[in-house]
Amino acid sequence: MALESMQKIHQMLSDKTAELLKRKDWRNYLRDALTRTLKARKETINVLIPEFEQFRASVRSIRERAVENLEQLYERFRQNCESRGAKVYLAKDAQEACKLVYDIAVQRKAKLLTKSKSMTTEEIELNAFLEERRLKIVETDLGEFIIQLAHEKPFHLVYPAVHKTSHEVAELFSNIAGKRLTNDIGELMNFVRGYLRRIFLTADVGVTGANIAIAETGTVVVETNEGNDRLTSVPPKVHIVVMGIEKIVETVDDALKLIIAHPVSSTGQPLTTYVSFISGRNPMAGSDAERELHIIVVDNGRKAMRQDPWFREALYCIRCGACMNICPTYGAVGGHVFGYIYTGAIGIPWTAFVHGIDKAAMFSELCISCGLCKEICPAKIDMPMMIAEVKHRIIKQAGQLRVNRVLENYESFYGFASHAPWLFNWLLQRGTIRLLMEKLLGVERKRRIPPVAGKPLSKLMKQRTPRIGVDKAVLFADFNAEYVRPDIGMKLVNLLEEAGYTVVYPKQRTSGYPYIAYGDLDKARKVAQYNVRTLSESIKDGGVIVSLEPTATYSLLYVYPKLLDYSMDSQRVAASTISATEFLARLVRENKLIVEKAEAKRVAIHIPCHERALDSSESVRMLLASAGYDAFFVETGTCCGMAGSFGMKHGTMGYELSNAVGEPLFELMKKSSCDMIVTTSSVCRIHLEEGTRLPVYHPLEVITISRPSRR
Amino acid sequence: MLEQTPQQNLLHLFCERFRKLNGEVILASDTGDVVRKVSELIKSHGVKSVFVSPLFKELEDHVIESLSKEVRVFRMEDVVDNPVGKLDAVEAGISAAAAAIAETGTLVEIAYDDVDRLASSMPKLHIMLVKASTVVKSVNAVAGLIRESFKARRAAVTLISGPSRSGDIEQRLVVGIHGPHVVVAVVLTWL
Repeated sequence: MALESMQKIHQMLSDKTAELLKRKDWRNYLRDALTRTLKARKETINVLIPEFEQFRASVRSIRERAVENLEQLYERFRQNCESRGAKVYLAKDAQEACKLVYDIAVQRKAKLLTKSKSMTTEEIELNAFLEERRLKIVETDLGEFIIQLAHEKPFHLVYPAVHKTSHEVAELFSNIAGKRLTNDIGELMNFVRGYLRRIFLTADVGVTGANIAIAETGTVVVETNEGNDRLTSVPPKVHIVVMGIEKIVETVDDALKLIIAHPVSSTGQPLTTYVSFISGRNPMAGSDAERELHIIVVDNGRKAMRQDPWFREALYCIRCGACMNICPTYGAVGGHVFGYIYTGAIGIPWTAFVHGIDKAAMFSELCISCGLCKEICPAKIDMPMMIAEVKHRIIKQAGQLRVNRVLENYESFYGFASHAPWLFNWLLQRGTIRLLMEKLLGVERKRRIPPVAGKPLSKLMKQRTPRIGVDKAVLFADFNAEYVRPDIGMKLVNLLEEAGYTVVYPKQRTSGYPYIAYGDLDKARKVAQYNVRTLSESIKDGGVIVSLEPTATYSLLYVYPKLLDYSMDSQRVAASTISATEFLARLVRENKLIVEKAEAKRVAIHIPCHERALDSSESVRMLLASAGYDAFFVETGTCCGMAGSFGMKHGTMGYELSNAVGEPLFELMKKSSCDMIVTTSSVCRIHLEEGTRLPVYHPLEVITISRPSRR
Repeated sequence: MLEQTPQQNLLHLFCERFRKLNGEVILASDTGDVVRKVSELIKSHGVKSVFVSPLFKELEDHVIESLSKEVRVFRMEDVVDNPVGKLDAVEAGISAAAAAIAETGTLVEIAYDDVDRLASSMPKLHIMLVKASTVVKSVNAVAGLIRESFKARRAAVTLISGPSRSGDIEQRLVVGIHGPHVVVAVVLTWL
């Protein structure tokens, strides 16, 4: 379907988001609910799966094999199901899948169907299809039941009704109960038990999804906490399973790994309360009369996804919803705005393929490219890059927003400004200039734009007398150290020289990450090519690349190789890259440098999102602690909301949303009674300064490091 | 104190984790003990009718004989005319677990007839007997058992970790919805 213009899409999304940003209590409620889940997840992993990284790798490999061998596994699954008397159908699209369910129901003269929660039946919009044809279908999962009563779409993959408070649920249930119910959750659940029990007993057909299917035994696996899958599938004569074709794994052992991965990653339970493995249709009290099992396997865009190298790994999704729980903007607006039927980060590629890019375009801009979805995903799906590619395909049709084009070019502005820093800085302080920038360019005037330094780092580097060391360190400075705070860059250079390194600063462009965030992948690729070329040239005789800015380090390690099809050079650059703080911490540990004692102060550390992928935040804490600071992490677990240049943009889809996301972190920081905040990210710094009014520093500004022999 | 055997440690872990999931655990040391404890359970819940799925051979007759004195006992042959309706009316289900998983606090049910799945999902009270020797450490240890049960043409294996629950309202896990509100694992410590 043809897309609207980007400006129009942006406006529609802004309007919807603005409505939700007004509801602060609701946002707090949502964020709290998601945070509780993240906490439970962490606790269960500690108890049950201490080797979680290894576990994630095995989950990914199971899903990789399943998608790789999709056709053979389907065939094997089908044969094994049919040998057990089940019927298996392959539906190419949603219409065909719905029609199959309808035909089976009509042939059996069914009037009432029950359904346990299934995203695939949501995807194909089965309920609407059946209801239009006068068949009654009742959702039996509590969350889905609430949604059905409210005539809404699921808000979240796992918790479809998480946005409804107990008061709202009591209201909905009172309507069908014919009496007033209180908001006591136990009472509400008791009511549902009684109400749905009658429906369970009289249903003609039970429809379930499948969390997993097993090829070797012809088995479908269904997981529920409520036990509603059992009451849906067992009493009726006919059980229909509707499942995506990607759900088939090879062995029982594969399935047993995934039944752990699902609940641990989604609710933090060790196992879902009921995990049913169904092979064929059992008799009922000794009788086989009319007991049937039909399994409808749905393609609906999945094979196309599999063929597309950018999107193949979206099929690795196990539907745990963790990417929603961690997502900063999902936590502020929820799945009715951040989603179509599939919600959150993984919802963007899935929507693009199964429902169309026009639907995905309606919420893709809500992804602010923090990358946390990838870090939490049990199958390590590279959602950030996949979303960047969806955005890329969208802007090719719908055009790019002006403000995005402006912000993508920040490097050129500062490059130009550094020729006349006083003029640039003077202009930035003029209210009228900022007003014009806001009106004409879309850059928020309330946001501080960092002043340009008198001399950029590249100039300072040329003017100094370099020292020759034994090993070589190649500096990757990025925007802040080059144009805004070259003093931080120089401090790092001096430390590296103190530790015995020859420091080189090859020609380089800034990371180009805004191009990723806004979907301009062709431009991002050019930057990647440039930086990889110059950096790989610099390390051709060995050496380490020391990178100052977390987003830049993340780009060198993960983004450039992907953009450049894992070229040899990009991999060599990635293999040689380390974050500056991690490198310094290593040199301190090796006694090549020592940290001098500073005045005892309480320091709250903010972890930038991309640093979570690098796992280097502990090095920041170690350096600060070595200086005698009382250093501790203060975090909500998600992004501060600035997201590079996103928080610089004027309006709801920028400054305002970034503040809404940041609020809980600002509160925590203020309550931490810290004397200062330290963070390695120059943009998080701006956001934290403005949001907390506390002093914020780069770690190198607050510690003094020297060579041991000098003491 | 005597040193615990690895199997006793597993049993201990199972009890701890199953209780954490709001499951109840009762240890029984011989046939008489099982019969007595199951009867007490049924009495204490004020139950008037139970459905009994196939139990371990060495116990089945004893349990049924004792229960029959107190409450109405249904077996599969008693419900063939209307299994769903009758199972909806009974107040407790008693069945046997093929194994238990310690780490996750899980009972393993293998059913070759769906009436046994009704017995563990419809009444508010579900009692499951499990042999102490069949407690395994982790989920992957039941792969063989599952594969074995599917050598039959049809079967349903269900991993049951405590009573039914829902977190769908405000993401607060509350016990007791469609399935049993109380699940009791009766561990046969001598088997």
